[in-house]
Amino acid sequence: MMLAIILFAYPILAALSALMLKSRRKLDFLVLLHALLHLGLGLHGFIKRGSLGAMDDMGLFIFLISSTLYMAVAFYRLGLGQDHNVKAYRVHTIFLMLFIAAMDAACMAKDLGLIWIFVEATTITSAMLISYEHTKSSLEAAWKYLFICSVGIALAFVGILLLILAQPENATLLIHKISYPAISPFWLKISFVFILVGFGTKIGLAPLHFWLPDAHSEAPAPISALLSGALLNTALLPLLRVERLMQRAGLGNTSQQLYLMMGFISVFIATVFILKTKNYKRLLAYSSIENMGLIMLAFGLGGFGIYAGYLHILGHSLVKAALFLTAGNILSIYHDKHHANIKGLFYRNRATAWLWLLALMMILGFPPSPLFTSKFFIITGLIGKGYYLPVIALILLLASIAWSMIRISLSMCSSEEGEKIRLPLWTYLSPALLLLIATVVGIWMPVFE
Amino acid sequence: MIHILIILLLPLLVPGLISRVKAIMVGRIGQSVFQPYFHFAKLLRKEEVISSSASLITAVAPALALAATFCAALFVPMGNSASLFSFKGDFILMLYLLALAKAFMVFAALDSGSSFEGMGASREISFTAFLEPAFLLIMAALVFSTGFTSLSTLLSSYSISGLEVWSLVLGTITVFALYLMLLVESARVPFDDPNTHLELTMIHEVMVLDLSGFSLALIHYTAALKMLIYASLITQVLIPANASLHLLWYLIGILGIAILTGLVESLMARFRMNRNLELVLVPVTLSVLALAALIARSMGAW
Amino acid sequence: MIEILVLVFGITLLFASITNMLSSIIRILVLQGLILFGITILKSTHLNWLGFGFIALETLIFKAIVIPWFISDTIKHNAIHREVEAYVSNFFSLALMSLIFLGSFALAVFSGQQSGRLFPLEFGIAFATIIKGLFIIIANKKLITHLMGYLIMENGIFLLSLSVGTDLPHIISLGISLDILLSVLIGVLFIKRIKSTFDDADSPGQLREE
Repeated sequence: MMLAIILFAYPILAALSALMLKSRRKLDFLVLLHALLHLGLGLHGFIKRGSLGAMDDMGLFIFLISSTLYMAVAFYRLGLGQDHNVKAYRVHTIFLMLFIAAMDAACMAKDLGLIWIFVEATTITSAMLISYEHTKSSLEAAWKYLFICSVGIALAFVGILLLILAQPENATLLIHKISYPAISPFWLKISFVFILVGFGTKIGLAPLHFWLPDAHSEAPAPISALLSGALLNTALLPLLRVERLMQRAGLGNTSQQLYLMMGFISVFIATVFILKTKNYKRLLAYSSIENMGLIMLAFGLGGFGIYAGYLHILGHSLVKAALFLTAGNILSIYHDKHHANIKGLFYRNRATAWLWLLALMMILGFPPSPLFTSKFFIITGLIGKGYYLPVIALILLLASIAWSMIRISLSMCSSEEGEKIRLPLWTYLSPALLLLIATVVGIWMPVFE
Repeated sequence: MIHILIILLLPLLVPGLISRVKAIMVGRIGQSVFQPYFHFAKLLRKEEVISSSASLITAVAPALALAATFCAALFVPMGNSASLFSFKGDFILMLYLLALAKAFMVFAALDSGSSFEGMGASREISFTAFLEPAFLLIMAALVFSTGFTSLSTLLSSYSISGLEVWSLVLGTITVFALYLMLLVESARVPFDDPNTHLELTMIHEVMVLDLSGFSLALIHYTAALKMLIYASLITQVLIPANASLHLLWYLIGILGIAILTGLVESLMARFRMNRNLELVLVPVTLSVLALAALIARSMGAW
Repeated sequence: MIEILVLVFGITLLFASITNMLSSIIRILVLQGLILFGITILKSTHLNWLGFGFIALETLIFKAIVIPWFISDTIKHNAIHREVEAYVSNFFSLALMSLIFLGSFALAVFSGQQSGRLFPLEFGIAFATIIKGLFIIIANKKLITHLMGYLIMENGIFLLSLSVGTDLPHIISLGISLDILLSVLIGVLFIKRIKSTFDDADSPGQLREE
């Protein structure tokens, strides 16, 4: 309990003190301290289960992923250039810490109402983070994000209210206290659909994904990494919790069918747009949609698909964060977001090019990436359940995505023109570390329950 | 007996009262309250001028319209709680008799061959097309609360009492929707200005532009009778079920509505033409809300 | 008494369909906040000073005073043109409103038969409000109108929470109201920035797929 208080007291105090700081270095150190604290508390909670605010295992899992990403991002920021004014940077730092605090609270909370409040808080704080550059497109992206997510989350709240209605007596929103024998299946189903639509908007499931490409591509690189890697997982958490409820209440089939359907549509839409897009950050954003779709497919299969789902969450977060950080490097070299204009990456900055290619290989599922294992499990799971035609379609879609991404990256890296540029060390180290962790996970493949 | 007297004598008093109120509001003395009667008598004596492209329809339509409206008036309780004729579900017949009268007027307007009347006819139809569903929905709400009977029984058994909150709510919505219908059907401000003679802005007036003499007299009387029908409906909703001195309350109600209409006409300006089309939907939405709320309430737990 | 308030709440939705001015939608928001205050007070069975304070804060102060003040302030400071610029005519909006009422009351009656704890009248009007809020967001050009549609939707959700039969714990209600207040604040901030960079506060359409 004490630890939970420390976890939340620090961002608030740090945010207050950041109001008085004037130098970027000091603000960066605040963030670094926060990240260290975060990771330390997470590991402590892992070793002594239940000591961090009585978080259950699912929440702890997501919490640890967020801490790893936050460490990497905090180190990456040390390597960023000094070309923005301090006032905007200060606001940015404050909201970053508040954003992380809101995500932690959403991981920790067990009451659906509280989870809702904190997820909405993450929307608000991250919207401020996205529009950091105050350009036209980033403002528009931030507005779309704020609006679509707020409306979606409001619908999720309708679902939560209907969940109260579903319980005939002693209605409660504490997830582990809901008595599932007595629940009325009719209301539970309707409530589940609303919650799926609502939190699915936040996750980026098609057809509610319209904010995602804009928001994730217009945000600065470290923020995109956090959004894609940490926020999507945090929004997935309540959905998984409610799905467990559905399973216990006997409606597991319905929820699984819905998951499969939405997962498949997401992969399909992601493929279509990846083939079309001209902006490499949007490419990464659509890949997030595709991976979230795959995660939904995994959880929709049940059985060992659940293991595959968790593995995919871990792998995707690590590799996608590395990709976004590397994309930030590319942007600082070329100052251009269109991949057709980027040539000769290998020549200009070898480290970034290697990082980019390696990360891309890992996200596509080449071994030793953990995504290889999870995708393998997903496909075998689908075949095992008899969905032959969807499997063939899925393989075709994944192959198209792979083709498109490889083509784009190779064209970015080839040819030799331009001058060589060196970037600060931290900007290489952070993505490299993330990829390393991902490789270790892929090889070692921890067993979680 | 009283019924026939009221139908014959009272209608023309209402436009007269409205004009008098309007005049007083702007500071004039204005015409006498009985002026429409004198106007009616004058028109009866005048010769008719008929357009060369008019046919038989122009000759008979005003009379047919009057006949239909008169028959509709027979079903409405006026003066006391029973009407002259009534049977179960007669309000549907009344509604369609009024629609028939309007149809005849439109035919007469189209028949004259001038484009002005055609324009007025189309506007009139588009405005009043949505009032029929509104009326039926209001009747449905009343039927839901009191049972499917004739119009007079419906109105007399429906009473607004201050103690029972729902009757108050339903009564308010019904009266408001009916009053809006009165304003639209009798072409009053804010939906149409009966005094305007600018061709671009006329709706009802333009339909009767081509009639004169006896036909025009009949048209004036028909319009006044239609207004009286709606005013009677409103008054009967408001009068409690077993009131003594029913006739007195009725007359007070009718005259009160006339004065209110005069005030509304003086204090409001006419709405823009396209806004009118939108606002005409308001009675429908209101009555949908009332009906749905009634049904929901009857099934709900408080 | 509660039923009358709920019905008046439904009638305010009608006003939202008819009107052409931004200021009247703000008045509708104020009225809805006051009505929600009344309904909450009348519905709560046990009331101590703390509970009363919370409820008053959420409904009266936030919904009826603070948020409308922020929005009208934004409109004045950014010199936003005072007309509601809708993509569809008021006629269509009113017709759709009737359909929405029919649909949500049908749903409410059907749900009332399924579960005994529902209040069908509040449920129906709450649902109608939510759908109407969504419609306002979709069918209007101005960003500030989108924000107001979102607030109407949130009012509907508040009414829905009153109609399911149990009181939400005060902490959660307060948290929700704070969230909404913060989103309005940030939304207003964004509108100011969008207006100064784009020179108009209409729905931006710059980011296309390319």
